Amino acid sequence: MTSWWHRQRVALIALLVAVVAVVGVHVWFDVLPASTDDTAVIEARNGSAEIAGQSLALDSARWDEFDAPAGSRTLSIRIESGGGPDATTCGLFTLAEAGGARVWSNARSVLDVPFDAGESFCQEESGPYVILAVFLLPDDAEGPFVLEIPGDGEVARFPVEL
Amino acid sequence: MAAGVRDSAAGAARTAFSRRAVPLWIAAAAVIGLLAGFIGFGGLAPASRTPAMVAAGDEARTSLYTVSVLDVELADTVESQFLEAEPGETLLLVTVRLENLSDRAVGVERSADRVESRLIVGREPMLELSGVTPTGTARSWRADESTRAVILQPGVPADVTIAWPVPDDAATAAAFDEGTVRLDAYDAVEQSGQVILAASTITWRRAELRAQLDLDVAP
Amino acid sequence: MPWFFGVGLLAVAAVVTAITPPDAALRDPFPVGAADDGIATSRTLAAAVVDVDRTGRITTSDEEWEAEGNWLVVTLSVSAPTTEVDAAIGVASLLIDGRLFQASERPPATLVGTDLRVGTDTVGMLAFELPADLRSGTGELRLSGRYPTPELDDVIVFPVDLADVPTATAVEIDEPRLGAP
Repeated sequence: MTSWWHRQRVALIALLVAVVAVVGVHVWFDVLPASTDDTAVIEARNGSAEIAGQSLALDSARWDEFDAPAGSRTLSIRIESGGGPDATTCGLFTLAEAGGARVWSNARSVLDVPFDAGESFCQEESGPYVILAVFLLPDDAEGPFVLEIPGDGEVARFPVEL
Repeated sequence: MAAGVRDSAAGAARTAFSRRAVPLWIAAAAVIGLLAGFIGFGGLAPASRTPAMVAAGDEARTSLYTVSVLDVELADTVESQFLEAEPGETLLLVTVRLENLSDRAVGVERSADRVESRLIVGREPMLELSGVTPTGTARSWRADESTRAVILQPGVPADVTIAWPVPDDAATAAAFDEGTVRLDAYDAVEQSGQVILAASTITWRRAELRAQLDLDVAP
Repeated sequence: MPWFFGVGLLAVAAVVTAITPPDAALRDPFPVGAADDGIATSRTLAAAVVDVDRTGRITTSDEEWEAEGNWLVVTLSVSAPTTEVDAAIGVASLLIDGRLFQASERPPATLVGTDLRVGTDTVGMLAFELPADLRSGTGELRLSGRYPTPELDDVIVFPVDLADVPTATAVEIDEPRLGAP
């Protein structure tokens, strides 16, 4: 008299295959992370890059140009843009620590920055102009940093050495 | 013969009060207790009620909020709210005192965190005009001129002005003259929803009409 | 004998049903409390309570606006721990007496929605309007980084005991400002 396992082997194998298939489908669709963001990253060469239809060049980075509360200081970054017929607007400027995880955004709205010191964003200008981005950094953020400027589905990265 | 009846009565009594009958007695007591509770809590009261007619200044009470009319006005513009009536329309401004009786803060126009009150917007708002048909969506603001969307905190009465755009024509004037313009206050039921975008949202769903408040424009 | 056993099973089933969390609890937020230095750090917010006051009247600093009522005013020092992008208090609520209050929208200045910075504190105030008869009890202040309260994300929780909160005659609601408290 054969054992129950032997008699049911076809059904048991089918059950095992079905379990593996169901678990696999569940893990594939519901557990594994979705595909990450694939925006093209443009690394700046010699401090300049083409983004948002214009040529941007990192001009200067200066500490403490504006008043900041105790324990923090400002970092003003000036970017020269050639403008041009294809110039479009770009997104939010962000400054990230090259080695760490912290990310800062343009703090002009909370600091006393004169309106005519430079543009806040890329403009659709035909001629050259200057963009001024001011970041409020704590005293323990020393650099080096990376400035990211998004535009037109791409992101331009400028290393900022101080 | 009488002895036979007495004997069977005694036998029946013994059966009824024997130990084997105890579960039966417990079940009977439970059923009677449930019935008593049902009757005691108003289960036999009639199911629907005619809506109460509420005069200006008096409070209408529903399960989730109370409302009383403080002031009624017709105007073409409200400058502090940048609100202007379209040509051929005018604004019916009703100032009410609302109190949120639920245990979560609700917004009058928009949602407040995960609670949608639908008090004045949506297909079936809790507060609806009758006697005159609004021509657009209602707007609301606090009587103290705060600029942000009104949130009703639980248990805190708030004075809110609600503006409905209504046609500026003879029919509207006649409705006001006859006194047939009223604010219908519907009862609301809290519904915990599983909306696609938000897992747990509480929405107020309209139930029966509870009260009709008179809206008499101040002369 | 068997039906005592049945009643016992019914009782166990009742207890199990009562203590099982509802389905929605699968997506509840994770509460984050303050560390020893008083700062509570969640994924997108780092907050510390600076001051708590109760008052019958709140005003703006130029006395242009005021409101009377049973107010609870909380001063907080908040910053973003890692990124400034989308860093703000989305929802500030007070759970007390079985009721959930939202930070009042009435004061002209509020910390809710103010942009927060990394490494630099922003000090601001929240005002909660409570019912006139709510004078005592314990509750919790909950802060979340996005509106509406997200699921499966952190929520900062600070305990509040109305008995320990001092009462002031009037409290001025200041605009949020940068810097240490």
